Amino acid sequence: MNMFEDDRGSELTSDLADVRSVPLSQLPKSGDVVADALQRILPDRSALQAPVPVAAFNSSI
Amino acid sequence: VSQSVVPFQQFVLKVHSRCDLACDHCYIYFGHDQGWHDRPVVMTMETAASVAQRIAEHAKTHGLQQVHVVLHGGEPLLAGVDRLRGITEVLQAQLDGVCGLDLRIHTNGVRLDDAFCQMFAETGIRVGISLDGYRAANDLHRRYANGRSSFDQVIRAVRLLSDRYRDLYLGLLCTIDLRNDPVAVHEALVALDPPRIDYLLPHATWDEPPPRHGNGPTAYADWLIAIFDRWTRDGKPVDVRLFDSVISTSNGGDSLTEAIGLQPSNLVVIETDGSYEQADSLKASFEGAQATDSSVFLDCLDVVASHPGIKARQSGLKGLCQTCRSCSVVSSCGGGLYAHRYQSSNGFANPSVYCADLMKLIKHIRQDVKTADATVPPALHALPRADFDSLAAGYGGSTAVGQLRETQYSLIRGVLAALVGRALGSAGAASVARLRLGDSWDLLSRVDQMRPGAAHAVLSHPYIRVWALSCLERIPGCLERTPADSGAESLTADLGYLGAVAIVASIRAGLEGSAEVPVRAGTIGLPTLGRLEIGELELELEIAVATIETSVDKVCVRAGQQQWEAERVSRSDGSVDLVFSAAAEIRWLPVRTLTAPGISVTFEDTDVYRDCHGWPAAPRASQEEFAGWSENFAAAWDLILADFSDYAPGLAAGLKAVMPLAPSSADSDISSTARNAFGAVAVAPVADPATLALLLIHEFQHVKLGAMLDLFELYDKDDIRLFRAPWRKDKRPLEGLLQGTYAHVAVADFWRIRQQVGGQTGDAAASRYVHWREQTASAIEELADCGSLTPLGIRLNDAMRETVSSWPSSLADRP
Repeated sequence: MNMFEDDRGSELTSDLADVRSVPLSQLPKSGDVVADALQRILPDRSALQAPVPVAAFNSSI
Repeated sequence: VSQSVVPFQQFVLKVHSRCDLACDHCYIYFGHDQGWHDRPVVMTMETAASVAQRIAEHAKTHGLQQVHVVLHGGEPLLAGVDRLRGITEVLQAQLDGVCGLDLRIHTNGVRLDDAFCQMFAETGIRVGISLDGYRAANDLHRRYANGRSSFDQVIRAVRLLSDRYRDLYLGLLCTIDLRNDPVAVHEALVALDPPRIDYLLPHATWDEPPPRHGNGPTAYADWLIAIFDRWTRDGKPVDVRLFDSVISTSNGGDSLTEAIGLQPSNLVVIETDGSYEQADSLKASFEGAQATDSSVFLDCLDVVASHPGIKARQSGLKGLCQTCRSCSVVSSCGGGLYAHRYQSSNGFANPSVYCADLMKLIKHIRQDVKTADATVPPALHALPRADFDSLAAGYGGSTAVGQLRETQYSLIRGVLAALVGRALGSAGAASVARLRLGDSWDLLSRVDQMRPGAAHAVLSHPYIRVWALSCLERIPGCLERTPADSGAESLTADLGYLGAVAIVASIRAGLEGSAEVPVRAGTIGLPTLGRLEIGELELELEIAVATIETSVDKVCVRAGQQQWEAERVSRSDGSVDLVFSAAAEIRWLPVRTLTAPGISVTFEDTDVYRDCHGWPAAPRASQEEFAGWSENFAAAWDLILADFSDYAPGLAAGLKAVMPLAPSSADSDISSTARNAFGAVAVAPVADPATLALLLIHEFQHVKLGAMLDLFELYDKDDIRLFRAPWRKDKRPLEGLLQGTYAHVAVADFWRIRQQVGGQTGDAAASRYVHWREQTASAIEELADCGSLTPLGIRLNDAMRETVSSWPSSLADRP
């Protein structure tokens, strides 16, 4: 998930593939793209899977 | 002559010479040749018998394995069921034991009914229908003599085929008119689910060039390219004969149409009086161009196969003019349709009048094929620096948040594909079969192709990713960590929710579909629409399953021996609702909406996967409770617009759902964001609009930062240290500290602005502002010193610091 700043200078490019216009029917065949999407949400985010409550006037995140 | 001719394999039988429509682009009635006036109205059985004999004779002579016979007109259905059956039976009798017979009929469809279809089903006649696209497109030409539209009759005919006689449905034929929107035409045709679409260039010659309506010299190519690009983007959901032919010929294969390609013509037309003719399209050239002066009563088919006109269309490259012979795309183009080459000064020794169009189209398709072969990966997401910086400063307008929203949509598509691939590969085969997971995926994919907006609406729902991840975590081998052992039955039922996702997309699209959905605790969850409570079912297998079928305006739910129907109602705001009969012994709990000027979010108290926020979800709110939420939300939004307007555009662009939490027993307000539910904010009931405004602003910070973290690496994930967060007693992991800091930038900002109201409220707010500004500034420095932020993470932290530093550290001068 390395981010790099592209040469154009005006945009920050992610390494997340834009599959909005890839037909769903074709996506399961796009192994790398799908694996990347999966990888992005799968890391153990135990820190954030705990509740993130805030007592608004006594905020305690 | 038999060995020196190219045998015919396609026979177009004119079984009726009149038509019930008066389409003004028809080459038969509005072309140069008006010979139809003198033909018998209908082909007699005597003529049909001779035709059948000639075809059988020809098949025997040349050892043909199969012949194709197209019943044509005029309008062939005018011949009636009995005459068509008679002609068919004569053909079948003559060809029985000689060769295979592929029977087709091409009709305008207006008379097609059950009686015809039943006869076609019995005799094996498949049906193609002419339709020029959406209503206005079709009405340009395909009208009755009195000017009345034929559209409704044709659509009825197409639906009859697609719904009840699917096996007979060959496809749709569309004649191009540049005045029609190409993609809209294509979408209208695709929506009718044809196996094939045939786009035809209108007949024209060099003497009478096609109308271009001021659209330039390659307007027909441009029109077709617009469709081609859409067709390829959608994954080629239907065969398109012209495009398939260019692709095939570009790869050295055969053309599938006489309109292009170098293959010798093997088609002959037989008129109602038994006379042989060349291709019908020649009628567009000059009067009598198609004539051969031979007939089934006098001549065998080899005689007409030897006719110079027929031979001219069988000589491949050497039959073309010099311009065509030296052209780089001739193997695909083949000079185009023969009739389109005509010029009165020199006959057919010309390129097609569509030469420039064909050249451009073929080159475009060849480039696309080449590109596809190179398997270019999809583009990468990117965010303009200015948008990143505005988000990093703690805000982010509608464009910036809109981009985050689209990134999330892209991500969930990939995640869903991963889920389906792994579920089909790993889950028990019986479970997969029982729940028809593959069918559900196909349905969702079909909706995605045909009504992408409907698929987008359901896939963008915040809790879809929550559901998908909960499944992925339990599929063996999918995650590095050991799957949670929550039981195979539970996983099967969760996977079955794909059916609910697909059928909701289908309902939203108004398309026909069917899916199996799990019934849990007597409830069917339909994401974004609501929850259907049908009561506990007797289990036949390990999980309870219902079948939901959709049509344009109905939804039918079947479970066990019971069945319920609902009307599908489209609201003026674009939403869709189901209206079940009041007598039905079920309870439909539709999703309700919180609205205020410039914003509309779902009040999510029905979704079956919503309970993921760490605090218990509230049960379904009563109407009275919902009214209270609505009032509070509207007032909170008014406050945000008036006093916290920097946050309003982002909220309007990205907040999709407010999920009510159960009331807190503690003496504090409760709100929460789930990392995997982009766009959702969970809130327990609050006493006043200002509190709700604060909670929405605060939680939406987490929503934005979560999406940014999905897009960019902002810190080193290998850093597992815990850090001091000023607002907590326990230490936090780095992402937790980052999230908290980003959220508290907005909290401090809220109180900074809020203190301006004055009075006791202002005094309390001022105190809180000073407190939260100090704590947030402290957390920013903690992050700056951690050494694990990436360059982009540092950029984010610097932007937060700049925002906070621009505010006063105290309010000593406050009046």
